[in-house]
This record gives sequence, C-alpha cells and structure tokens, in this order.
Amino acid sequence: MNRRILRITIVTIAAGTILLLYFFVEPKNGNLPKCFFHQLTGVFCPGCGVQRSFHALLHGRMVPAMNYNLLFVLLLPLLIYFVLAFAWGKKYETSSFIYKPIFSYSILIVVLSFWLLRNIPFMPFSWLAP
Amino acid sequence: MATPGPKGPFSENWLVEAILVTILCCLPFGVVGIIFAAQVNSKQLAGDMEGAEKARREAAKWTKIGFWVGLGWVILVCLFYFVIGFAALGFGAASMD
Repeated sequence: MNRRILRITIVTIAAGTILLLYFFVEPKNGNLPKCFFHQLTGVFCPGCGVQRSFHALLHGRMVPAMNYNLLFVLLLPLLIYFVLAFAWGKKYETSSFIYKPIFSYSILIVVLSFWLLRNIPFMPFSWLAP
Repeated sequence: MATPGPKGPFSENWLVEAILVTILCCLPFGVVGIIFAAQVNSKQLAGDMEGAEKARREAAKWTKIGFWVGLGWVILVCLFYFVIGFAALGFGAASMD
C-alpha cells in the first residue's frame, strides 16, 4: 500500500512538472532538447517531434500535434493507460493483451513502417515528418 | 515429456517499457527493445523457454540503454542551457559597464 502511494506521488509530481514545463516553454525559441539520433544522423526517428506535438496538444492544437508526430497522438491513449497502470502498480494478467504476440508484433510493424515512411522526402509521406 | 504451449506465468516482456522509451525518449534503442520484447511471448508460446528468457534479457538491456542515453542527453542539454544562461548573464552584466 505504501509503495502504491509512493508511486502515485512520484508519477503525479513528474507529470505535473512536465505539464507545467511544456505548457510554458515555447518550442519556436529552440529551448527544447533536440533528438540525439536526428542530430547525429539527420534521419528522423519514430519519436522525433513528440515534444512539439505534446506542446501543441497542451494548447489544444490537435492538427499541428498530428503534423509533428502522428504516431504519438494515435498511441496517446495507450501511453496514458501504461503510465496510469505503472502509477497504480498494476500487475498484468497472463492473459493480458500486452503478452499477446499479435499485439507486440503489430506495435513493431507500426513503429518500423512509421519510421521508414516519415523519412521519404516527398508528399504524401513528408506529411509524417516533424 | 515437454509439450509446447504456454506453461506457467508469462515472464515480464518489457514491451510497455520499450514502447515508452521509443516514443518518449526519441531513441532507436527502444525499437531494438520492441523487437526483442515481441520475441519473448512468441518464443514462449512455441515452448522455447530458453529463447524467451534470452529475448527478455536482451529486451531489458536495450530498453535500459535507451532510457539512460535518453535521460543523459536531456540532462546534458539542460546543463548546456544552464551554462549558456549564466554566460549570457555575465555578458549582460559586462556590457552594462
């Protein structure tokens, strides 16, 4: 029980800090840490654009958010579920969907194809680039 | 006689952690984590417990690498801005004279 309270406290503080920070930081000023992989290789990774996308979402700008990182916006409900489950200290049942190979392979295929497609430098694929 | 199929509790497959690292940490290490995480349960279902355990360890390894490199990068950038900020303050003060 104590561990659960500790987890919830940590997640609440972390989430609160991140929300506050991102609400007030303006990405156009270039204050956000840039993607390490993109700096190194010039190739967009599946996570590039998440910070700008998150910032846009916090300001209720849905379309720019999807422009920056479509995958992040689509997976957001799942990500929120995972974070809440972590905070609650949820133990996944053996029959849970996260242990189904079909789920893990779908995620893998979606992430890999998103990675590939967003690096194709012409329309309509360039729409996926951040 | 060993029969193939799910036996006993499924071991933790690191899929959730690998997804979070891939999407939130901006790093391809997470993708490697997802690749191994996906193998854990399919190998387990095929009865290959040894392979599943090996995949689980690899998934854990790459997910952790992604997490720490991502976190380290963010801390480095923050330190960088901190130093720049102080330097700017210094310059500002100097130009006041």
